[in-house]
Amino acid sequence: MTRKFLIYATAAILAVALVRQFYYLGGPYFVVPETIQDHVAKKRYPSRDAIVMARRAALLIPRGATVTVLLPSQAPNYDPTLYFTATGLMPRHRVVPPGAKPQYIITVQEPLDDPSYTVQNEFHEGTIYVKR
Amino acid sequence: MTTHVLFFASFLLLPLFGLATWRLEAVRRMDLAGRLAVAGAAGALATAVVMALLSLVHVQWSRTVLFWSAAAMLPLSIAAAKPWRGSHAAAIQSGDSRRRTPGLVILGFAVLTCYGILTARESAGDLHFFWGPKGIHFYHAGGIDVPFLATKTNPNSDYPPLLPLLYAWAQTVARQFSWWAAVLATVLFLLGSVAILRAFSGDDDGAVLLMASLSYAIAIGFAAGGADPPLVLFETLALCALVFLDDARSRDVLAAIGLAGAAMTKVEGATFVIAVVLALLIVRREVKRTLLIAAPAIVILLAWLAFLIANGLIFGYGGAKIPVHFSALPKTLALVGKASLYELYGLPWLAPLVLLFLGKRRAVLPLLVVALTLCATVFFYIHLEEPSWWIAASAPRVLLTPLMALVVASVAASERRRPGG
Repeated sequence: MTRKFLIYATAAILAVALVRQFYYLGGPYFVVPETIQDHVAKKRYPSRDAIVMARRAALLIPRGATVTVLLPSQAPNYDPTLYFTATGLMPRHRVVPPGAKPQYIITVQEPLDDPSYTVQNEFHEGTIYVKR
Repeated sequence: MTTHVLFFASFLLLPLFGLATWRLEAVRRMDLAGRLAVAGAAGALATAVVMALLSLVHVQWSRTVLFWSAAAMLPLSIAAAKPWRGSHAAAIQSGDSRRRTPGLVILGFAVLTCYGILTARESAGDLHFFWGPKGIHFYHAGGIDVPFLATKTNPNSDYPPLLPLLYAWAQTVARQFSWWAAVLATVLFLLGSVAILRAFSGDDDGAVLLMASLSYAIAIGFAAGGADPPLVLFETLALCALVFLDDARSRDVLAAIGLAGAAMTKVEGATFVIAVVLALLIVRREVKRTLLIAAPAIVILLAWLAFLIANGLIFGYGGAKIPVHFSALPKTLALVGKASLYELYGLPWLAPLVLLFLGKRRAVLPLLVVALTLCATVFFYIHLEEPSWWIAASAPRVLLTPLMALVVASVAASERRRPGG
């Protein structure tokens, strides 16, 4: 009896804690999210915007072109997970690290301040730049 | 929508390729959920091994090739499972099938987990950093894509291939990659682990504890879509077979499948194999049998290492050469301890620990596995002088293994009817 009580009491607490965790991560709570990263933190993750931007860029950038994804303010230590993400969403393109000076740069959340690139497409989540 | 459904359905097909396990005496006596979970784990391993072998002999995957391979496996599986039909009357239900409460509680946690996953509250970053991209590139290459693994834009090139192979299998069925179905597959691995514990131990309440603990820990660790849920499935299979089954043949075969699957899923799977081998040698002192159980895992691991060395892809496994920083031990212990609290005062650990003390049986084997996997986790982390970020990013997921083993130990410590025993 003690065992059963302990197990079900634990399960009840864990269920409440699970709901609390979901609530803590923020709303909206009953809307299908755009990406699998939409609610993994209270703050919008750059990787979430990298998913959205890479998905769009896959249709806007010619296949086979070299491309990278970055958050400009992180220079020169760019977060590699942003371009790692693009490798899955742009398998027909050549995703490279930022240092490789690719033909296209996808920025998330912030604009790029590099005169050798010009804006191709602008979105709420970021911008696609093409080499001049 | 069709892509999501087909991608998810491809995971539901996996038990078809593991039906041969139903021939085993212990599996024959389990309930349907237990049998499906065992067949699912075996089918996942079989699918991954066949795809890897096809790639190794340069046979490019395609729907046709994979469907013919599956078609070749199916009759063998069904023929092997046939004797089960005759003994259906003798099959016993694990647990008490009249008790609805445990099933409802497990279903409740499954619904909560589905909600968390489908509202993007449990997704593993590693899914879109490398597990998913690997699967996608494998699919496009029609085999294990060595040039992609060698690029700088693919981290952890030498991580074992089971999950990307399963994702490539699912994409072959669906034609497109479904990120949502990939994260949702976590529910299947979770339910599979729970069904295995319930079927092997006959302990409905223990299954409830495992479901509650893993559902919560997976959510806190953001593990959905990563390799940890399938790893836990294979580990649960191996550990439950060794702890609860008395039929030697069933125990050895199922433990071997579990260990092989674990070794093919994650680097941590290899350390789990080592932990189980050490625990078996200490507790049961059967060297030959232990080595036989571990043999498929060792073969898979050596084959993967040979492939990596031949293609110059050693990375994580090569970490064994990195010096150990014992100076980082106090900080590592503190951080791992903090992560193990799971933002709930360590409740997922406390409950099985109390049950262990209340139990009347000794559960030395799973407890040794808990201790050894915890030590291995800390040992991994002290390979970095400053492991704070690494621990914060991975500990809640990596600790799923010792957590599962502790719940198994707490179930083993209680006195219950054991259908597999």
